[in-house]
Amino acid sequence: MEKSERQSRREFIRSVSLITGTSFIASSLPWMNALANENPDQTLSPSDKVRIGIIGVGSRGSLLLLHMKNIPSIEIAAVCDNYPPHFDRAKEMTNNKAKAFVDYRKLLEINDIDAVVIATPLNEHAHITIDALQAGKHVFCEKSMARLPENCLAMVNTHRKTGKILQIGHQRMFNPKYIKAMEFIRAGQLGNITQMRAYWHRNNDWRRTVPSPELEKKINWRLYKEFSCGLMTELASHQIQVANWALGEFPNKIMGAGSINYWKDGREVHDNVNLVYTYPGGTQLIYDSCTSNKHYGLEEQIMGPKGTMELEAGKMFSETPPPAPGIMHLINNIEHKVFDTIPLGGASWVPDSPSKNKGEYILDEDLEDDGTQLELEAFAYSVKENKIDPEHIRQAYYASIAALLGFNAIEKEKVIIVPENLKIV
Amino acid sequence: MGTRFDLVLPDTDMANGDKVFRQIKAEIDRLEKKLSRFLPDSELTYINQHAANNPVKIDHEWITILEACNKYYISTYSCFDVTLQQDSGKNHNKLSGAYNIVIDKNDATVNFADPGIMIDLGGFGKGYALDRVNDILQLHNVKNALVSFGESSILAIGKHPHGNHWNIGIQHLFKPGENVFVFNLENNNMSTSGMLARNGKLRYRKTALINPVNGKSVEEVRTISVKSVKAIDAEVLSTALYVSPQNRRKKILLNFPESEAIEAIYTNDKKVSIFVLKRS
Repeated sequence: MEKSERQSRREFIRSVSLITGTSFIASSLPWMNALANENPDQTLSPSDKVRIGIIGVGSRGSLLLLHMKNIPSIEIAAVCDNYPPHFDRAKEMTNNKAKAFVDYRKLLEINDIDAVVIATPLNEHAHITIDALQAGKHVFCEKSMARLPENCLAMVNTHRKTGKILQIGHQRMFNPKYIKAMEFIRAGQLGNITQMRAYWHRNNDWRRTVPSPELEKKINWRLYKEFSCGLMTELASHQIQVANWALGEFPNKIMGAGSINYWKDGREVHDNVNLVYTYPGGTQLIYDSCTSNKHYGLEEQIMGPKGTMELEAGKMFSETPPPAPGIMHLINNIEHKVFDTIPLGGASWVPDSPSKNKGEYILDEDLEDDGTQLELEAFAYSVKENKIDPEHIRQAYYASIAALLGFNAIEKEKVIIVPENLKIV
Repeated sequence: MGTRFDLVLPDTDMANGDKVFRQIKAEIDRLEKKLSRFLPDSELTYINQHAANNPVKIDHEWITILEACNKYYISTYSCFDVTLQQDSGKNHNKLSGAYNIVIDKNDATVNFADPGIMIDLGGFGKGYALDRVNDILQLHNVKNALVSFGESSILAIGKHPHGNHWNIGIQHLFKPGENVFVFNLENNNMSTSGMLARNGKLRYRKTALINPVNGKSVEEVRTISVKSVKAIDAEVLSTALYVSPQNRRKKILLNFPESEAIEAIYTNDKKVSIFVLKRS
């Protein structure tokens, strides 16, 4: 990495430390302190680096590759893709320095690879992850975990049996804005959470260009049930994870409806989904996603008797904004039959500002990174320190299970109760 | 209006209070949609975008508002000026001048003589809104009320339930809770212009006030508070006196015979001196 680039990245991490406070960093983002204190002039020795192989270097995989190139503690040792254009692009992106494979099993045979990053179509996550863990590699796998609930469970079981790290690409869990928001929620700033809503709306066909018709399913795998559950696994799982995290529970009952009402182009997955998730304490998450209107964009809204959070916007709204102190003083005096001077007017003329009535920002400064680079930094740190966060996999697992069962609820037109054999501790 | 609004109705019952409050809220929302230059679909935004090119049709209320702005521009010897240069973010030193707002009463239009200007009613809107709030309170026959816009613009109707008037203290900028001056208000208004402080710490807003005489932003640590019968007079006068050169203040005050003004000047060691501004 160029020194200037590296310098700016450290500046970024320092500013995160600064805006979020050190205790917050130490507890939630422990690798950040190490990165912030990194000496910019010192080059990491090869033995200090985590050697990573990337399996699946399509659009998400190549984005992860770009992020990893910016992380000094990562060396991209190998790449693997069975689609020739992506294979060639991946080699080129590593300046032909990484070993390149078409078959991931060959990649897993390399002894000096510490970990793999998996960004293949969803239906391939489970067997590649299990093979990698059993080959002694730590695994970072994109969300959702797998196409079927039992395969998610098998992934978790293999991770626990092998003791190898399994991190899933829920980048919001590493986004300081979300971590800070969860701190506020735990501190009771919203009161007990009583209602949650989340949505993700787009207005496009979600298709990638297909060079020849036989490649349709390979390229547009998101649109076919054999490979994906569409909006549920590719978008909703992110937001269900956020809702679970905010509430501190996992849903146990799911209702849903969906259809293909606009993109009637041969796809098999819904182009709109609408669900209600019920949690053990009686709180619901109302979820919807569509691909024919983008007006409302995406948001997760967490509500309690004291306030609301809009997490994508990074804002918090109090139900009862505290009255101005002078006015409070006045009301107090009137109630106690006291006539006294009201201390006001410490303020002044200021220009109109539309932001004031629109909530408070959770972090004073928004960050450019959505958590993707931070989650990869965290993965490298976990591999180096061989540290496993057991809560991470529980969060990821239940987000995937909820997305998959949500898809089933829509397909079967039935209320689904999360079965006992799919529950993990 | 980007500002906190507080309304205290000490002797109005809940149902009537709620009715009055809703009407006031609706009026303030209406005014915001009309007067804010920060809302993309406000009437003022439309005027600012088009009045440089063509005369823009305006309603009777706009004529009243813009005529008042031009009148105040004259009565404050150009120290109260609602016009800004469109690129004032880059160039504070460029002067504008409310005389560039051309109102045609017959056609009911407004046109900018200088295409580079825009209107900012920041130093006008709160006072204008408080006068409208006063109208509503009178309509509902409210005898006693205290209304605050961001604690810097105050309307006091009648008296405190346990006193003969309302006592409004101007807080020390650096010592919260300590008053540097107390106004007795009864059926009148108070407005303060100057530096912002919160919890005893200054919050600089360097672009908040621009001296229309030299185009420079005002940065001394001081405040001007004005008591007037009309809220708009208090609002305009506190702003005008704040930016006015010393030698223009007496002349300006002569045009506002019913107003009282005091100035608080803070030294570097945070001591405060109070001056009552005189007409002669």
